[in-house]
Amino acid sequence: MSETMATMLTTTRMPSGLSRTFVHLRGHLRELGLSMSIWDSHARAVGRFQTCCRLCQYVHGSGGLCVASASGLAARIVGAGQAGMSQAPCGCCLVGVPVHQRRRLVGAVVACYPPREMFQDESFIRLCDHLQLDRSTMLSAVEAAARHSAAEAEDFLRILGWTLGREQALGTAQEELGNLSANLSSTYEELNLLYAVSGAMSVMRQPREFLLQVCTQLVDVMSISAAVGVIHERPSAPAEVMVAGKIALESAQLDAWLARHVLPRIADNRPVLDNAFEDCGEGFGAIRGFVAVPLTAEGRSLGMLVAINKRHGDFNSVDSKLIGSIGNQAAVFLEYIRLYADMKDLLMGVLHALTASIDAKDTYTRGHSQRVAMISKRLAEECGLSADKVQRIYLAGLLHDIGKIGIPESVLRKPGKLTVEEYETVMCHPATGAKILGGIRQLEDVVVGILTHHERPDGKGYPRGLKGQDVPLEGRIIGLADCLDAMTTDRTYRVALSLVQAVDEIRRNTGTQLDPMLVEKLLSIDLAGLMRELDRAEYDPGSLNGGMEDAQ
Amino acid sequence: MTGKILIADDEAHILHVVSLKLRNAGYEVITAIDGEEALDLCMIERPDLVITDYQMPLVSGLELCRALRANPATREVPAILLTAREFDIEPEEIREARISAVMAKPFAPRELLVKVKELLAVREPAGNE
Repeated sequence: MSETMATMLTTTRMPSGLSRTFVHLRGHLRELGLSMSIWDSHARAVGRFQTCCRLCQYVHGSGGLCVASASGLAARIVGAGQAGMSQAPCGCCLVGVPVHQRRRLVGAVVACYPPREMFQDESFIRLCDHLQLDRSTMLSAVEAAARHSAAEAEDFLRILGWTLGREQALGTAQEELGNLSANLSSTYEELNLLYAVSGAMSVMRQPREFLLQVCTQLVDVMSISAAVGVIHERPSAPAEVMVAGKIALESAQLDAWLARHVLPRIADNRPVLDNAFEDCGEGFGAIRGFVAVPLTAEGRSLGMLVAINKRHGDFNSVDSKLIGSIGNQAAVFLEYIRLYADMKDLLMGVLHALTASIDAKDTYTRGHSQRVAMISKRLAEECGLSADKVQRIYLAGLLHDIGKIGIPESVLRKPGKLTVEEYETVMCHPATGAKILGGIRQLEDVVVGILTHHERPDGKGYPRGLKGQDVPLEGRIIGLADCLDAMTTDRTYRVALSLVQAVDEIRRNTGTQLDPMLVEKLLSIDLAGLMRELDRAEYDPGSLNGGMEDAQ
Repeated sequence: MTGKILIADDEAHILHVVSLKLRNAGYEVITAIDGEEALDLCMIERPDLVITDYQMPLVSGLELCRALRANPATREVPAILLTAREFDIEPEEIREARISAVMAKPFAPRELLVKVKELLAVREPAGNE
């Protein structure tokens, strides 16, 4: 029997989720001098049977009287679903209670102790004889363990019931707390992702950079293998694809997968969730599942956001809601970027048209405004000004001669020397320009440069005759740029100077007409290179936007 | 607010969150940790409304609702289904189990409360007739 019992003892497993409870319960009982055995719902022993005293060790080792009694009690308990008590033939007291988990009977625990009376009556003597043990040796060995009387069994039964109940409640509470914490943690991560996405919107202007960052965050927070962001002009147009994380697909394969399996399914502008993506031998085996959302703004498709392969388990509605929300934010933001770029293009287009109309009045100065704008921009950069300031100076350079609209063509195109009256007309153009643009709030700071670009350090400029540092930096920069371009292009009154001649001329006029600090900056620039750049710009309308490209 | 509401979910935190919201709104709340317990409690407690998770051990939310419909005593009790896998459930199944509303997780407890009030308000006059 002992062999069959031993086999049974090791084959049955504890009901899952209760091991902590049993460990604690056994500890409490041991302190009270009781041993504990665990039984499953078929009254089969779970784990190794632990004996309560030396005598039991002998009994257990020689035939399992205690085990058999505990097993019998366990069978009664799981059969009736009620607590119970019994006494082993050796005299040990047994108390047991049923164990429930999720309202189901999953087994029983049986506690066992040798009562004091056990060593005082004949059964002990008979047992020792039966086992061929020396009575006095056994008595001294086990008496110390006999702390309780048989009458206390009923109390122990109650204590066992309470302790089991408390330990189970504690275990459940701890498990709930663990789950709750895990949930809270992922909720924080999701919340943080939403913060990060809105944060990224305030610092980024590049759609690609923005979407890539969104994808990178998605990979971490959603615990997915890869996130893909797609931007397109319209669904049928070639797309830009940003990938974060790892996916075992070549980029051409990924493009093909997106076009064949994702794009058609999000056509109705709703998120798509697929946990069992079937690859029909097309080489997309790397993809197990995905969630995809379209990026749309005012009914226009801007792209999509795709989460690929959940690392653990399946995609669920928590995932699709999260990516849907991120997708909505991203779409609004991408649309704003597009509108902003459109507005910028429109503004620049209008400003260029405006300046071109001035330049057209005087064929000799064709492209002059554009060149002055570019030289001014370069000088402003050389002065270490902020990107925003550089852009304003570019605009001021572009518009500096706008006031010439009020000067008759006969004066502008006059080959010879101007009369005093004519010269006075010409001198009005900075103030006229400032007046024309003065009403536009967004150009207020641009007007300063226009108004003062003919002032001079020596105070002999116009319209106000400002001196030295009283001339605003914008005016000094545009004045120098204007001067350089005037020297290096043909005019009605002379042909263009060579670059060397122009530099000499600039040096000669430094301190009187031109600001020494700025001249120094100008001469530190590769002027021959700058001149080539200006020539190119004249034939390349695409570069007209040069001053606005990196404006934040 | 009056009414007895049974909530069944094997995720304890959902039980806590939803119970708190509904108790604070004045409802009597009973909870079950699986579909089987929920079904037993429905027979004993006769709730006015059942809110159940879809994925639960032993008896799923959908099976629970079907069982409620099969019993004359619970045939009319309105049910709200909470789920993280709405895509797994056919609209036909929702109709057949006469589920009044499906809320995808994560849902706002506030929205759930609105739904509960709505369903109990509809039911009230019907009960008075």
